[in-house]
Amino acid sequence: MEKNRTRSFFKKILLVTARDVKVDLRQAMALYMLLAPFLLALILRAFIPAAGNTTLNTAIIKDADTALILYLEQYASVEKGLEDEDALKSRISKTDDIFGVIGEADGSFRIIEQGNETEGSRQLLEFLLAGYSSASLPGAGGAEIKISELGWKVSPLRQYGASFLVLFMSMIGGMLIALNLIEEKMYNTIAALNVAPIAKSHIVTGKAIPGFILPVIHGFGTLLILGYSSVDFAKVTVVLLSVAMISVIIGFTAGVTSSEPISGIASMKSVFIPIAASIFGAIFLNEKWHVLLFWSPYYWAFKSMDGILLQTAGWAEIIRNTTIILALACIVFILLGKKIRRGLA
Amino acid sequence: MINVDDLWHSYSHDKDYALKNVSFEISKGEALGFLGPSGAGKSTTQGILTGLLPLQKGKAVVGGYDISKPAREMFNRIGVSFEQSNVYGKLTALENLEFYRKLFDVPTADPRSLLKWVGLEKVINKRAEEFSKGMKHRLTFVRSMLNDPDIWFLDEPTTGLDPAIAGQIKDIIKEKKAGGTTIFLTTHNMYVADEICDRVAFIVDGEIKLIDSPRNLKIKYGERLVDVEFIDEGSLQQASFSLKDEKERNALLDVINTKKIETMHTREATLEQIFIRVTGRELAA
Repeated sequence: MEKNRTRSFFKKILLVTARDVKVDLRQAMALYMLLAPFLLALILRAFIPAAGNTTLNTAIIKDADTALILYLEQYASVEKGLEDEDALKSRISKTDDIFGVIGEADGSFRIIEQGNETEGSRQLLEFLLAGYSSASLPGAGGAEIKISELGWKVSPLRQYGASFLVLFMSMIGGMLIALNLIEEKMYNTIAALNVAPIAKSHIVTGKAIPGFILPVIHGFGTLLILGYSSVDFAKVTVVLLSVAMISVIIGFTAGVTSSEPISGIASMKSVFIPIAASIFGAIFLNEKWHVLLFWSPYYWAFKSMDGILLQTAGWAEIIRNTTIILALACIVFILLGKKIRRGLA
Repeated sequence: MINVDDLWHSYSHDKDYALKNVSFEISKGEALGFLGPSGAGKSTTQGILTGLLPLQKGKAVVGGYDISKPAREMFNRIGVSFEQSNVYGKLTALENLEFYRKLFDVPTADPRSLLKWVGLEKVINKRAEEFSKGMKHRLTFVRSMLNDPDIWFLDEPTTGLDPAIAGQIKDIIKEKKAGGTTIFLTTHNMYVADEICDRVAFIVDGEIKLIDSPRNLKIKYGERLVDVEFIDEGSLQQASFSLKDEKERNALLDVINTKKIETMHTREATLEQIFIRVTGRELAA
């Protein structure tokens, strides 16, 4: 009896979820929202120099010192055989992330670059060339080269862009919840559901599920597209599920208070401002002013995501930030819960 | 099956009542028609009895379930057809019914058979958003039959439908009634109420003015008339005679005895005429 009840409970919840997903896949706006994070991640990847890798690429003219070529090939990709300096400049001007190296008569090196290469790459090349010069000095015995932290592990655009995109796109689940609820209200199908043998809690749970799953799918997809395949995805999941709670609550509120899809989307878009403010504040404000952002769950989510991407965040930090996010979500729910319950009646 | 006692309801939660002291009972297998103009309180009553509106004051029991705390299981036994079609436009007719069918914990009817019953068998895989108003209405109507309900709430089931479809819907309701289904029907269409209901309640401004069977109402309030067409001095004449009035009865006999009768029909008062007489209001208002 109890087993049947449990089975029926899950069956009905999943029925509501499946219906919503089916409808989403048949609506152009919802379909676009489902795919948008991946498209944006691909665009971001295309525009960030070497967003997908951190390989140091160099080009060198054909008359260059063979020892230098052999040396650089130990640490970098070297494109050889370019005719002269003009050919080298022409090569560097192409869209990819590559430095030209020219040996001067006095033993020094000149680096040719476009200026938009990955930050830190130039310092690394300078460091390698300095190492080569010192190794070439009589009696030096070869300098030992150690590669250490240069300030940026990855391009800041790639690092912050990924966190920004992942957190921004966590709102899409809420938007889809709002769209589905608005549709139910517009066509009064919610009344038909309310006279069916399904509890309101089942309806709410069924409608909320995509709001939790989508941010995780979008987050994983975005991170993989941007080349973050080795981050701790368990931590990413915890952060995204906690921040999805806010998106789901706001999605339900927008859904029950809006009478048509455009006003629902507009309500959801207004949440983008505090998200953006929290993230930009966390990036650009001096640490002592961060206290001004402590109210925002997105600030804590951003701090967690940043730590995860840099692989510096431990579980203790993630759990602390997640607890704060959930506490803030509870406050949001206390403020909006009554409105949601009334709207679903 | 349905017991309603002293029901009151105010949308504005003040003394502006949409329902006032509404009380009635419906026995198993009986069809009660709630007859009244728009805004009389018909849909409000149905809304409360189906749990869509909160029970503010009074008592209502539907199928043994107290409506002040309606149990979800109750909806396995009742069916609700809405006045305005409310189906998922992005789902096909079959998907709409399949979705609701799976929500029930009791055996359900085959959606394909139901769709065939209302003439939608050729469009089962067509999205409801492409349906005409009548098709959507039929889909909404058959959805309420999925669980073969013991108690069936029908809100204006034939309003806005063309006569052929309305006739089809009425036939289905009559068939279910014959099968023992208890029916609560709200309508402002006196013909539908007359044809389907065992009893009708006249409701105006949230108050039930009277409840009785259409036959009793016609006997009690109606004026039976005889319409006669006859030839008098070479030309066709028409006249109506009341069977209640002795003077008119004698006049009718005189016409029958002295004139050449062309046509003669008895005419009973319609429910609409009785409604107007009892309430002083028009049903279509």
